[in-house]
Amino acid sequence: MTFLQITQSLLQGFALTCLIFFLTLIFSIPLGLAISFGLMSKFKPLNLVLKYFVWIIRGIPLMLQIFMVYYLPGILNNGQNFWGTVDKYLYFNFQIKSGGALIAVLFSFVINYACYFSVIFKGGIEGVNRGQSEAGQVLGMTKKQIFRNVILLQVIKKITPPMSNEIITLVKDTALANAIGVVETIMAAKNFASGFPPIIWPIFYSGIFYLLFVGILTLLFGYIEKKLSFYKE
Amino acid sequence: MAYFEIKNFEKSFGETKVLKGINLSIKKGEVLSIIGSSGSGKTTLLRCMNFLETVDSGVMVLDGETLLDSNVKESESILREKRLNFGLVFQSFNLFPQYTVFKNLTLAPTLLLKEKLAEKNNLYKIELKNIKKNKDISADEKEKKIKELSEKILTKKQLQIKFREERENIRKDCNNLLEKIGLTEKASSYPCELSGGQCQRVAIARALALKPKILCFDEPTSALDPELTGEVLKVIKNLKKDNTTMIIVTHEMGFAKGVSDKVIFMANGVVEEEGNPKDVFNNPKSEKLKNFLNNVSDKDGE
Ligand SMILES: Nc1ncnc2c1ncn2[C@@H]1O[C@H](COP(=O)(O)OP(=O)(O)OP(=O)(O)O)[C@@H](O)[C@H]1O
Ligand SMILES: [Mg+2]
Repeated sequence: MTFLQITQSLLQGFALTCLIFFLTLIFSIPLGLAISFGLMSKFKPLNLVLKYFVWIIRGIPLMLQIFMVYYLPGILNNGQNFWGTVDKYLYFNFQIKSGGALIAVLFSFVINYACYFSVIFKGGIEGVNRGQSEAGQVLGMTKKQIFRNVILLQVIKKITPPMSNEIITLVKDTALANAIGVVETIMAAKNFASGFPPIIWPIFYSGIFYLLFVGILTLLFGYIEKKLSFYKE
Repeated sequence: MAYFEIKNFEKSFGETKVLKGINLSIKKGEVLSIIGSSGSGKTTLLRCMNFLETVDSGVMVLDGETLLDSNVKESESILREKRLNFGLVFQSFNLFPQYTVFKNLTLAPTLLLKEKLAEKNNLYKIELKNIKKNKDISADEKEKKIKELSEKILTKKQLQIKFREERENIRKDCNNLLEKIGLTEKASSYPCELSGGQCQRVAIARALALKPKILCFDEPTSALDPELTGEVLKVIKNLKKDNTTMIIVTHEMGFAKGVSDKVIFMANGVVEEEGNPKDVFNNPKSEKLKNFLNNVSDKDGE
């Protein structure tokens, strides 16, 4: 095994890591926004249901949620391995390996992160002083104009620090996908360690991929925060 | 006849009745001060006038137009129009922190201008459509009208040009306002870079930028350090010289005495006493007002 081969193999795993990361972000942010509006809604039943849902999702480990999503359909369906079937289907038709597991992982990640984000969004929106929207109203602005011109940027500024924390956590959480057999970065590295002969160093090497990724994100969020620091409240 | 009149305003929050039938009236160019102890309902009254709260009952008439009748439910867009008759200056300024002083002033008028231009254009378009469909008029007349209307309808580009032209007027107005409050050199500062007194002066200018018929103040100097109240009160006094109609809730008795044409003393959600400032401050009739004025002067003496 040359360095190049191992790098290539880890990069394949890292591609999956990135895929999980970006798809989770793309879907969980809008879903999280929707949930946050539900959490703030005056319609009691919706409000209550979502409150408990968010509490449950945030209260149990993400690993457990992945297992639930992965095994539950089979149990409900007389022990038929639902995701295994999806796996096979995707493999035979599109040559995608462990596609079922990947979908199960994405499903649980999106729900999990949407719940975390919803709480952040809610805090951000409620954290903007009520006087701001009242000032807009008194100045004859519409609700939409107030949201777009007055509230939105203030919310973004408020949520940038907690969002950057969550998003950086997401990078590392993607490793949980290997619990149900998705060969992401760490699984790819581990495969070398448990092979014959065992090669240990890729385990350490794989950490560099995460460090680089998180480093770039840290720079990006630092930049955004700096851009938004032109005003204080 | 009164320029502005409130009849029988009532407002409850849950079980507590905060306004218990408030009546008041002012003439054009007059300054009305509202005084009263904490919790008497002064802020609530201003908020109801500005449609930030809905009254349970009551009528409000401005310049012959009924702005509010609790028996009539108005749509949000009509409420918006009516709101523009008033300006409201908050105790805590509520400037938009992410915009410069100048943008704080121009934002609302600019949005309004854009909307008005688009609205007008749309009306012409609808009219044009209707005329094209109309079969009752002669072909000649139809053609003439279509031509007339088509000339009035602006393309997107023309609309943009017109918007830019008229926006210049807004900018000029706002520059004049900045000069009036003595903050021309702060035009491109952010609110966080200003003192409280300067913020409140900007908030006043921001309200004036929409040319309200009545400007309301809710304790404009309460959030300020004592040495900063003077500059804000001076701005308000200058507005009086320009004959701006104002309703001012204040705890500054000396100021109220000097600037007002009329003073209202509120207690427990009713107008307990009203009259010209001399009578109210020098010859209070009700026990409540006497007590209130004594307490205030005690505090001033501290
Ligand atoms: N949104 C609300 N919900 C419930 N009660 C309210 C609300 N707003 C005001 N109140 C109550 O109404 C009463 C009058 O309040 P308001 O703010 O109008 O008094 P105020 O005369 O402005 O007092 P202050 O001089 O302290 O500003 C108070 O008892 C207050 O607790
Ligand atoms: Mg008040």
